[in-house]
Amino acid sequence: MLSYMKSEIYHVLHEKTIYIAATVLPGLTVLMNVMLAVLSGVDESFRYGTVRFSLNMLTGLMIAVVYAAIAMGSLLTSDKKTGVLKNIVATGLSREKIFIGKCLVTLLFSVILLILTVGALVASAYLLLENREWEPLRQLLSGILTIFPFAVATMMYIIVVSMHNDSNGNLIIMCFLYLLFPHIIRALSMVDVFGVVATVLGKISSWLPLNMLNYEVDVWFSSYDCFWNKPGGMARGILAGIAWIVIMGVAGIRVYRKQDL
Amino acid sequence: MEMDIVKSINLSKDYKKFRALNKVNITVKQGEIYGLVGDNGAGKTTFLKLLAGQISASEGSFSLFGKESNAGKAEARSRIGVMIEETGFYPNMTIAQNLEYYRRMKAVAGKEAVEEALSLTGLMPYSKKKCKAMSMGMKQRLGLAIALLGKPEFLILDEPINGLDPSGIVEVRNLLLKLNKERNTTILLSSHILSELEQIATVYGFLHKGNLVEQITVEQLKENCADFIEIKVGDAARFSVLLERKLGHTNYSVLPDNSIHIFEPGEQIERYSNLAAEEGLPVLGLGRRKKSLEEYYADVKRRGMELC
Repeated sequence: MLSYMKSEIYHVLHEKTIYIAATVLPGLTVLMNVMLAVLSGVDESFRYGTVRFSLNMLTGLMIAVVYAAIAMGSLLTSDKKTGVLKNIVATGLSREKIFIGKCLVTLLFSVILLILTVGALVASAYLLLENREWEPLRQLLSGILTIFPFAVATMMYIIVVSMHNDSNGNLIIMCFLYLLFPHIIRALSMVDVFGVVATVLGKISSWLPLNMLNYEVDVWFSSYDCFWNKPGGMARGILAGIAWIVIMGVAGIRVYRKQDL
Repeated sequence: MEMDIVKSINLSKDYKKFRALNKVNITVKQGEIYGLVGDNGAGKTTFLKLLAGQISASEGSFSLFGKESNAGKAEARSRIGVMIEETGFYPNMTIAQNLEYYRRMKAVAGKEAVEEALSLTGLMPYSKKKCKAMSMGMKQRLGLAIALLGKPEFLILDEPINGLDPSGIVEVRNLLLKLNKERNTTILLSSHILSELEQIATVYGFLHKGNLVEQITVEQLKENCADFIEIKVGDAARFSVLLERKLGHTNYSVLPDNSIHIFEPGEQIERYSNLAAEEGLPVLGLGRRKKSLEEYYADVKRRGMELC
């Protein structure tokens, strides 16, 4: 598996995708902070040139980490479409190892990109903006830590779905369904006619990380109300994410084992 | 005694309700160049994909290098080079980079392995070319280069000369013969171009609609394709009766176009024209012939249709 991972790392490093992502994502965060600093400099009434506002942008949009995981999973899993996967299988490497290896390599590059992007956001915020307090950074890092396992599970989902679907269209549909599913469960849990079922669905809904992100995160300039900051909230987010990793791991191994190439 | 590199027992594959391969028993021995012959949809690629682990069998089993367990076969596959259908590669990487990717994956020591594969397949001058800009022939060569990485003991090649120009075909043929002779590489290949297979294969397997109709060595094939006389007469049925009664000849076959193939005819072919003349049968054509692989294949297909 190590040889496979080395070859995958070689592949990623010899494609433009990773370099574009590593430039654009941190670049955008720096650009945002530069603009905040400039606006703050030219207009004294502009209230948003602060570290808190800048970091809260990401804290409040923590779901972006999940979207980034979808993007990374899609960008780095073209081997079924290109036909490379069938060659990999023919070398004798077990399909389970291929799946695990692919997840690990994608995770490695995703973490590097996450560190670069968040690092660029935080560094430029503290360098360029006012009110250099540390509380927003703690809140941001708590959010990332909470949602990280679920982001990993999402990336695994994309790897599994890519194995099952050759076309980009199918992949987009599967992503859409993945993002829609928690909303449907939540909506059904609110329909009274379901009775006990609705109660159960409500419980399930509250443990779905996407619903936690969609309905239990409220961050703005001065407000900060996130589930990970409440008692047991962070543990709930992390545990739910780990459960999804296990589900995706089992699904991935099943799909990789059975799929004809 | 030579080792069985591949031995399949009643190997079958179903795609939903369609049976692509039906209880196929094929044995490929070490050092052989095994030519898999069959029309489109005969099951050639399905058989090769099963060996490569790209699809799983619906029924039956097979061994690779004598290993039957999944773990054993996985280990055996590291000794195999595979090129099935269009080889997968990353289009934005160069030819050399794609080979390097596979070299690392196969854990082949030394970067010179890439250079060797490039030079064996004639891709050295194009090593820095992006794969998305490759011609069909270059893609085939790259597929072959990937298969050759790490000096495999056994090569599985699906239509390896597809898309190659005439000189490319000769180069690949010579390369395969060289590998077989110098490295004792066992080769299992499929091809539609029977005249090409005829020049390299030492064993043939004829597949028809998923069934293995015949497995035959090149020596047996030569025997079966030996000289025969083709005589075309006005009344083939009557002539065949005469053949048996007057000359005691029973080894012949009557074709739909009223011509008769007489096997083991002996040296004097005039006796057949004389026989027809004596009985007042007009002889429309007479000649000594030898069956080509294509003709033999047509016969096998006829038998295959009867089997189906």
